[in-house]
Amino acid sequence: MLKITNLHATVADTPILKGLNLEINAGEVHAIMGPNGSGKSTLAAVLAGRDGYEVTAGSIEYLGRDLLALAVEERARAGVFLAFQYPVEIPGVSNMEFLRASLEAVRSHRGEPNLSAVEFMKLARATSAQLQLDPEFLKRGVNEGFSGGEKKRNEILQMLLLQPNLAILDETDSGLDIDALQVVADGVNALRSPERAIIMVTHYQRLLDYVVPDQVHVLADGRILRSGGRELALELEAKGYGWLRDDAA
Amino acid sequence: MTTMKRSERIEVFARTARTRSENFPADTGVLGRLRAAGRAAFSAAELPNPKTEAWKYSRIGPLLEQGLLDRAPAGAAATARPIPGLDVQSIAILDGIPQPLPTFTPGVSVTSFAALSGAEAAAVETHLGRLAAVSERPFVALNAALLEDGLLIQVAPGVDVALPIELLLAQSDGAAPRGVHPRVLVIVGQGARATLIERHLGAAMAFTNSVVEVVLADGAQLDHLRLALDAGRGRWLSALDVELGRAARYHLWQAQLGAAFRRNEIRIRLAGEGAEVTVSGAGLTRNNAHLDNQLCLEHRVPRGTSTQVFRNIAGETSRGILNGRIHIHRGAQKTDAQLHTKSLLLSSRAEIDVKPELEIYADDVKCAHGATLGQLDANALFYLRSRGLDETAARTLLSFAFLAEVVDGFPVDAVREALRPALAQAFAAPAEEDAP
Repeated sequence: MLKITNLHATVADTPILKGLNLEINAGEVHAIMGPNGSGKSTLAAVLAGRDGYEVTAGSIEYLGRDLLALAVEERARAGVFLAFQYPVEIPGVSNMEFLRASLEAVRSHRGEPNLSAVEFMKLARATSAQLQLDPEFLKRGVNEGFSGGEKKRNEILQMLLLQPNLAILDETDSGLDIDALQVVADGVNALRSPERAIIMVTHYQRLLDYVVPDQVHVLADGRILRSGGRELALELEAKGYGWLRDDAA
Repeated sequence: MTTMKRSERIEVFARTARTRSENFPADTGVLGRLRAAGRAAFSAAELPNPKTEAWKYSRIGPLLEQGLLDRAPAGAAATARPIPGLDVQSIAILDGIPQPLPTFTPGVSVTSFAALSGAEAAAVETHLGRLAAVSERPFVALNAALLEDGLLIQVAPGVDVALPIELLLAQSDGAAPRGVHPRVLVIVGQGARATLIERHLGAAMAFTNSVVEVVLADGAQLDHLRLALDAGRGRWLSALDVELGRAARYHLWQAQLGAAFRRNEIRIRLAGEGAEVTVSGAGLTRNNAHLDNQLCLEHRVPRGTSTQVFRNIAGETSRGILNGRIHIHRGAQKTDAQLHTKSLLLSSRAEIDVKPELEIYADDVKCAHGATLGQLDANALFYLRSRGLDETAARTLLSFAFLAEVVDGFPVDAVREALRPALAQAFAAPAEEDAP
């Protein structure tokens, strides 16, 4: 589904990604771990197409297409979803209105008919309930005054509504208490299917107890330093990142 | 269009206006006297020039173009464009001419100046031209000098008028340039309450120089909605002069798009103790449009409150102007006056000029103002686009959100609901690189 080859990216002329290779097949869940500053969030931003991140070399192939040639919204419509580390507050735009506009944009691209207002409401309410979000949140401004945990659950709500092919979760576990983590993990697990792939960018292995990955990659200094199975995350937890770097050196 | 120098164009405009005003038949009634006063004042007045402070950001060039003093050809058909789901009692002034009047609900009376008699004539004599004095503003004088007819709208004391009164100032779609000078006097009697929905309609190359005077007796309340949602080639200059009696309440809501020229001169006088004024304005200019709001809140007596909130957005090469003057007279103690504006620039070539002017001669007052100017938040734009919205849709949604604080407060449901598609259409209009 996703093939990243020799990816180099800079932020404000500072190289962050320095030759990253990664291949993810449909049906797989990959965890990308690494110390602060290793380039995890840069990778997520480059995949989603955020301004200010310049790809200087390499390629990203998504479902056989050149992902980097697509505009931000085209990626979203083609099924790429980024759950933000810091979801943006947009006062004055109701969550409901936002979710509906987004779902319409993505569905119409897929050639699916728009939901009626009633169908949409039903879906939004059911999905909110699944994430233990009070339906009142749908009426409020997008993320306006939401707690950290509520913002993260709102991201997962959007993900479940949009049903992406490729979901990238950027530190979605940070700032969640254990109950919220369970709810979010249940949401992510609900999305798992043979047609979809999920990338979880995380600093801690805690989330991986709830969403068990097929592969774990360690990102350091802009490259994948090591890949392995679930046990690699546990090893990192026990030994920290220093061990790997020493090992590599 | 013309290669004449500005001073020559002004001279031609003034001369043409004088000639036109002299063509009205002699008349000793209300109309005749107002015209005579207007003609004299206009002849003595100097038209605004680039050094006139009140016109610093609004050049009168667009008003001087050929044909803008011509009378409208007769027989234009009214373009009825009712607001969906809105029940109103409607008054139309088309191409400057009051149209046949419908029947009104009890307590509401509307009379053309030409048909005034008795007590109504006396009421008009008392108030007309008192608030919008011909001596102070040349275009108010011009309105009087070229007045075809006007309307008196009265709400009887103590009556609570549930059905909104709609006032249409409409320009027909005709191709001929023309100038019209609508005039309306609104008197809301003691303790009465009404809603006035004033709509400026038309996008043709025409000059509308309107004067609306509103007198609120003690304890009266008027919710005044002003909608100007036709962009285009229209030249709209609107004087609105309001006076409040004791404990009267005046709430003004404006939603306006820029046009070739649109300027509102709004003067609100708190003349009775404990009067209350709120002004909420949402403005959007696109392409090379112009929207100028000149406000003057005059606190003349103690214990008045006024709150003004504005949201303005300017895109492309358009220009938005807001001049908010608060004048607290000597002795107007315990006044509470506030002015808050937020502006949003969608383009590096757009311009918004915001100027608060505070003049305070009393020492026990609260007076606050705040102004911010910004651009759309890049993070929010990215967030929306990452959810599949295209850039135009994302910008529109965020711009709506910016205006929502004002627009969501509009008191008439059907108007509030109509504003959304109207603004959406304005946002969706294609960007033009250069002025037509």
